[in-house]
Amino acid sequence: MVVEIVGRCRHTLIALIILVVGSAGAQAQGTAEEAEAFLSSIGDRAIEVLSTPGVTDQELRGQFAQIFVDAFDTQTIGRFVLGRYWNDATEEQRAEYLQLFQNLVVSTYAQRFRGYQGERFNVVGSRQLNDTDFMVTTQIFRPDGGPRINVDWRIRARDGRYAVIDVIVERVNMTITYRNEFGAIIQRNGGNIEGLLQALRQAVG
Amino acid sequence: MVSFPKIARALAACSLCVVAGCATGEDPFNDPYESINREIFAFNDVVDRNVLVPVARAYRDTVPDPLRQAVTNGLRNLNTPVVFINEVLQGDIRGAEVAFNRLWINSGLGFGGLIDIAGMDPRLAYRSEDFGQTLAVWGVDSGPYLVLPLLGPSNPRDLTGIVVDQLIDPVAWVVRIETDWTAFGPSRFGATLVDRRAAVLDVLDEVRATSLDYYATIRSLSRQSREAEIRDNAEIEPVDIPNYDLEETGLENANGG
Repeated sequence: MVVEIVGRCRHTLIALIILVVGSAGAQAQGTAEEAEAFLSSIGDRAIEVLSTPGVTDQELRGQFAQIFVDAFDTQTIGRFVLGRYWNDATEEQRAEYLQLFQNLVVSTYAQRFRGYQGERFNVVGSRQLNDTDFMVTTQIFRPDGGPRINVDWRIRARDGRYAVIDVIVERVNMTITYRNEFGAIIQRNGGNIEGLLQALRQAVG
Repeated sequence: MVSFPKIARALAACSLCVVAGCATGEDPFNDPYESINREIFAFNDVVDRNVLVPVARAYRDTVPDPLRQAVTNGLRNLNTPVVFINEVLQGDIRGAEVAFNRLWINSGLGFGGLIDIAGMDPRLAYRSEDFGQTLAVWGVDSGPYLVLPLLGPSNPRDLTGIVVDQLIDPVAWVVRIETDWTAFGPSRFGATLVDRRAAVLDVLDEVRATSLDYYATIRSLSRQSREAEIRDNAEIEPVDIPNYDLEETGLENANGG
């Protein structure tokens, strides 16, 4: 009985210590609520663009590019996607790569949303991953009652601003997929980033 | 005491080594047979575009939604005994309970499984389990990436799983023993193929159109979704994306604002 109480107390004590030390040590940036609000505003902007009657593909692309530039941290995503090859690249290659990568993502998303048929999305929850990162979970509803699509948005807070650094659709990771694809292209070109740049130029240059 | 899963794990690991030739080395994509895989992938892609996609598209465009949903439900119901067995083998008693309840509710009240009555309760939602996943739960390594002719992305572990699932499937045994309906197996396989392909028509069109290396993208996507299936509903560890020192980039909105 006594042992049990001591044991229980010890756990509480440890939990308390972790709580105090943890909160003192961490310089948490932002809150999950703010991350959710940030994502909702981005989503509303995108839906507004998509719902504009008579919007042309060209306009859609331009508007999407602007939303993407505002909402996504291209540099962080692009660097992570390039992995160790970032260090081998020259300044010029890095700059060109980031620009081409951004173009690629924008054109991919513009194409993805071209078939928009009045989908709505709901924020269903969020959790804090570490001092700076939050995962906001959304569900996309189709008006025809088709299966819901689960999309998680990883949002990083930095100097009071928020930016998306990863998108996970049905638990498939955007950054990992690009990282694997780009890694394969570079590897097939003898470990040279120029091969990737060439493929990107051809696609979206 | 040596448990059954341990023995099975050891046995499976041995047999997989023979199949896989135990390929190791410095290959970040675990794809030592990439050149052969790419050739089979290219062949599959030709068949996909010329046969499977037209059939799946015609199916999607002519058969009304509720009817196609009924086909999906029926095929899933036929597969539920295999799901049940694999839940048990994985030691997932709750999962086994779900599969068992789905089977009797949908077979009994859902017109032989054509209506997913059970699935209206989210706790009884469909979940796919197979022997490949069971091997993974037992700790068997996947082995190298393989592209199978017509079947697509796989690996020795999943290939073993496909064979075992065929052998243990109670539905196939009942049909084999109780009837002389020889077309059952092939018809079911064909229906499953069209049903699954029709579900991902738009997604795969888009992936094909937007990827720079379709093979590498599919390799990554299939691995990730397989990994998610194996882990059931458990949360996946977030990727370690570092806090880089960001530089001034001068990125432009090349598409005009």
